[in-house]
Amino acid sequence: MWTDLAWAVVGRLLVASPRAAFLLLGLAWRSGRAAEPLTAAELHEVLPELPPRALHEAARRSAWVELKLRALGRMRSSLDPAAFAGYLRLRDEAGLAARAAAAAPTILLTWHLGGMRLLGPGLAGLGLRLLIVRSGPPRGFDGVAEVRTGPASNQRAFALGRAFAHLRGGGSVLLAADGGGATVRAPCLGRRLRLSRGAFVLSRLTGAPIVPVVALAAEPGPGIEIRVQPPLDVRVGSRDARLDAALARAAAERLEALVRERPGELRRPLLDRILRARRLAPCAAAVLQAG
Amino acid sequence: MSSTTRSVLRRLVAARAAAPLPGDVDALPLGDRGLGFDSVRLVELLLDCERELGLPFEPELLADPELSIETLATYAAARD
Repeated sequence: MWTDLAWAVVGRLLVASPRAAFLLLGLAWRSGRAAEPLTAAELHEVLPELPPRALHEAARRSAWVELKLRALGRMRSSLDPAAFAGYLRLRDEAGLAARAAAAAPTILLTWHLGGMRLLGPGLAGLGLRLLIVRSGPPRGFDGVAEVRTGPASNQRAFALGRAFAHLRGGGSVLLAADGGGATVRAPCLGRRLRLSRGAFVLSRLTGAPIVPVVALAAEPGPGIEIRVQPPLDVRVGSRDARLDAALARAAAERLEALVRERPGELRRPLLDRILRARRLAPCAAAVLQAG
Repeated sequence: MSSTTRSVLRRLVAARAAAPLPGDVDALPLGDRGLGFDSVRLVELLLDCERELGLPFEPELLADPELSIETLATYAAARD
């Protein structure tokens, strides 16, 4: 079990010699001494087709993700942004840099997967005029605006309104699809998953594309992969709630593919949301996925 | 102008409401404390106001938990 003393040592090492610190963390992880935030049993509920060995490996990976993100969180507060950016590797499959250069409004949609909190610094270097919608207190990234949402409808409406105005002014917005507020349900992993409507509504109102983006942390070493996926491609004749639903289905498909590829990246809020979602009957799941 | 604005606002709110409006709706908050509009409906309503009444879209209006037809009418009057 990791103690405060161990983290104090690692914390010093992270500044003096990040490589040595990550070596130490890697040894601790490989020895099985790091607590696993997700259990194989929980992951089995999400991905029942995975064999036990793969489930245990995913649970082990979740421990590494937890350790790495904690370490990188400490490094971010002690390193200058340019040095810290060296740990963030961008995989831009959406031409986001070109969109930023053209000041084309973009809705960046993410999930509680991997290092969600590192998306701000990871995307700041692209030159996007970025607004992050978050439920917690502002984190203060250079060149990034933030707006806080909350449980009350006026708090959520203010954040949504700020995001809308920002997009209309040519900026880009980052928000999570598994937050709170008004929701829409979409089939995902054999369940009817509840997704926040915000991103889908913003896309409908502004015409801005939705670009899924995640910060993947499960690979060995200190690096984080900021993966920017191609925009959701949805063709619906109407511009009403049916468009929201179609976008939600497309987003849920991307999420399902990511979870299947990297189950160890699941974070507790998203895992709990999936486990709370009602299971689809097998025939309903087939129909919804096809539709 | 004010009574016309109010009647337009009542119509816009009624179109977005899930149930028929009560008679004394003007002072009733639109959000959690009153008509129960969620965040999406509140934003869409403000966009309706922009389209039909020419009111500039101000997100700060949405932060007010007491936002109502009354406060929107006051905002419109201040813009005249």
